[in-house]
Amino acid sequence: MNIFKFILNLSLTITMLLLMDPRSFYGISFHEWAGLAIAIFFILHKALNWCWIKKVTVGFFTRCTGRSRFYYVLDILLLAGLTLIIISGMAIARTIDFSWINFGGSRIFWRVMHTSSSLITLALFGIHLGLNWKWVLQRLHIKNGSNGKEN
Amino acid sequence: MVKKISLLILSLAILAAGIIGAIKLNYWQRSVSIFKVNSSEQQFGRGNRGPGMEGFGRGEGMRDGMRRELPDSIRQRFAGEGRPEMRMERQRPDSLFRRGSGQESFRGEEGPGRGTRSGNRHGGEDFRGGKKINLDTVVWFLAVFASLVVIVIYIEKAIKLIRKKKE
Repeated sequence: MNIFKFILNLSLTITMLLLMDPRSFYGISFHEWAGLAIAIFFILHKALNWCWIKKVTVGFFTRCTGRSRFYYVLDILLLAGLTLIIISGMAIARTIDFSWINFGGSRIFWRVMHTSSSLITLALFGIHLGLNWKWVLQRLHIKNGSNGKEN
Repeated sequence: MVKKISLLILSLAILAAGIIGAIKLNYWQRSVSIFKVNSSEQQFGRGNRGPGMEGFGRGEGMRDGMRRELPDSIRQRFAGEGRPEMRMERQRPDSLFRRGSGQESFRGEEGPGRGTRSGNRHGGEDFRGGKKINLDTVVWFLAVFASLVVIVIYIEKAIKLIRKKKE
């Protein structure tokens, strides 16, 4: 399971980085489809850590450590960021037709929203990875120990 | 000890690359541009037009990015100001950006800045067609991302060390 998690997280990171520049990798078509696919990756990532989410949600104000709370808040921010990226991406999509959804607002607004939210979310991803670095080292058999977020 | 020093050097290199990347990508300005969008939108109106450019180019700020969204006539009015290489791009009608089956791209094919990353940023506006891989910008994003990871790792270590000392 841990190997699967590791591969999933690695794919998530690589995809996110490739998505940062729409021109870098097979153009806008890849950008839009991979952007939608990353949502599935993210949901899967959260589903695999569901026990931890449930545990912290239930005991957020009572049992949780400050560290767990910080992780949780960061994860919520990441969720919000990713949601914003996907919605704004759908609003400015060119190769996939989302015209049947009425997003409102101007194209400029959604584009700026898309750029800003993706940059902020990438930074949050960096913080998230930094906080879970021990888990990464464990998977690579570099270091032993627990980072406290394991289920 | 050797391992620690080499790790420290590696971390410093990542940090330096991250800082350069952040400057090159105009990371901070583009990140906070969402908080400025409302006032700018009032200034420029609601341009809802054609395929524009994803994100904003390096150093061009939000105004330039928004200008590209404007109709040709208004955009040409703006074309008189700014850098000459930008002028060429702005004077190209929107219809040209839409033209073609998707196999053609203006990026790096003409105009100033050809072959440079900044040229791509400012001039490479249509990226629908090219089945090319150009990871220059992605590498800089990776550098910024990695530097953030390194910063967080060291902050965490510092906090642990402070806590240990207090105890």
